[in-house]
Amino acid sequence: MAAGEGVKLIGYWASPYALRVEWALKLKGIEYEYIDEDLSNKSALLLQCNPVHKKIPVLVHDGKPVAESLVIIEYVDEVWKEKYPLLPRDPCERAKARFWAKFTDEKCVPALMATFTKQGEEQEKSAKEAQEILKTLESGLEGKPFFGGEIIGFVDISAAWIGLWVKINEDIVNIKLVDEKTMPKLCVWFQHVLENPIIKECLPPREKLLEHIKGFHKRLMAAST
Amino acid sequence: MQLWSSTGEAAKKELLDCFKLLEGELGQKPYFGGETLGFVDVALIPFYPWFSAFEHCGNFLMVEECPRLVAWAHNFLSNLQIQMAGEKITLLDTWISPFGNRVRIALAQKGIEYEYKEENLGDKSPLLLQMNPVKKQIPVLIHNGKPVCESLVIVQYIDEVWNQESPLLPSDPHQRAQARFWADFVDKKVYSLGMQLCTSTGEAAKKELLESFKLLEGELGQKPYFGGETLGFVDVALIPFYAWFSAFEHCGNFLMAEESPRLVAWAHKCLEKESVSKNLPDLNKAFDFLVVYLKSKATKG
Repeated sequence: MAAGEGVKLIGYWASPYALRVEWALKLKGIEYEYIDEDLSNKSALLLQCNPVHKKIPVLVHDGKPVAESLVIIEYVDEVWKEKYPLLPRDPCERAKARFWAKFTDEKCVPALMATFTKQGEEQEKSAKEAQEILKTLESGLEGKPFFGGEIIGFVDISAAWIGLWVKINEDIVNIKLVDEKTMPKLCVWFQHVLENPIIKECLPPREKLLEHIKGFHKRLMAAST
Repeated sequence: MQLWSSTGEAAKKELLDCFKLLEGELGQKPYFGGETLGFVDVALIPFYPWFSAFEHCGNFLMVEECPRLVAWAHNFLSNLQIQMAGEKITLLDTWISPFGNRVRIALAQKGIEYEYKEENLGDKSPLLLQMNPVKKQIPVLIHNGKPVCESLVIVQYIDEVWNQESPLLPSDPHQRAQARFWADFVDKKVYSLGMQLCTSTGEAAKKELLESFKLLEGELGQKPYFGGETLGFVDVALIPFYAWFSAFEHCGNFLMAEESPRLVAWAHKCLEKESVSKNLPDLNKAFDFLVVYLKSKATKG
């Protein structure tokens, strides 16, 4: 790897973290080479580029690796700052954006996982908690069409994948987490982001993703019995 | 610089001509940027402390040669003081929180004055609940009425708003990404593994915590600070956990000086700075508190 080697993204087709980074690159019109990892047999390249966590996504720009999806998105936003800014200019608004992206990872993701992986009463409890957390996420929109204001921004690309994942989880565990009645603004927001042509283009094929997550759920349930 | 380092009138003449050109550009505006400070103001004002040296070497007086520029400089400096005087900054925090410590260290590094409010987490103030309704947690920085939450988000905010003084993040984007990566690593590993170590039995958390410290030592390398020659973002993220080291040692039955000597040396170096030493809790008080606190968490399960 060396300088002048352009942009490579080491990702995984079914990972929402890799998806976020792809959305950032596509919105900015940055050309990149996508390398899909086999997570059951991690490549030497991945282990070399992310020796600490050994996880995707990793961006490699002119030979230099950057890991952790939100760190990568901020990096991309700073290097290609003239093209489609993702974070707002105002420091207070930037802080708000970082807060909600962190909230997505630290609160929404574990809540979704808990609903998906638990059973019986525990699952019902987790589902209720997840709904409260998603309602809180909705409040972050503050009546705007997107977290980024009038256009898709940092938080939108960090969190909108949830719209697709909750629908798939609903099919598998039969729990409806996002309700048009109780979270109307969140539903509209999911729709607007996910229907954007640039965003939609990167989405993994729904059927393939459903089968993949079904398989994951099956293995989880088998392991817990 | 030519004026400074040589004799002869040529450099002096050219320097004074430059100052006159700048005065021409300033015109009657209060600042080069117009009504507010702009790019050129920020570019030029650092040379104000050099004016007296120029005067000394060139045997002239700025107030006679370029009175307009001198008036501009005085206006700039008095405005800055007014700006700072007009700022209202409050920090909601608790004495023992490593996350709050981070913010206090960042504020101290930047020389920012603020009002400190100690929260009782067993009885959260209406102000805290109003300013952080989502997570209801400290630290919260309130800047002119607007709240900023999450310690590393706050530290970045402080670095962006008060960007003239002691930058915490480097300017190079790749180095900034590395700093954010390692600060995130501290959040994901040190705090959670430390808590696991102290609230449960078994060796897994201890092993992973010690490995995390070794990875951090690897990142530090031979540099005095993670930020290089000066205290940076990762230093601020990690140093508050120094007050927790003795609790980790007690719970895990090991010595940091043996397991991570480089990190201990780094911590001592950080503590030489007042911005750090004055904003960490007293180590004995912290240890006594943590031993009880962590035991109570362990029994709760």
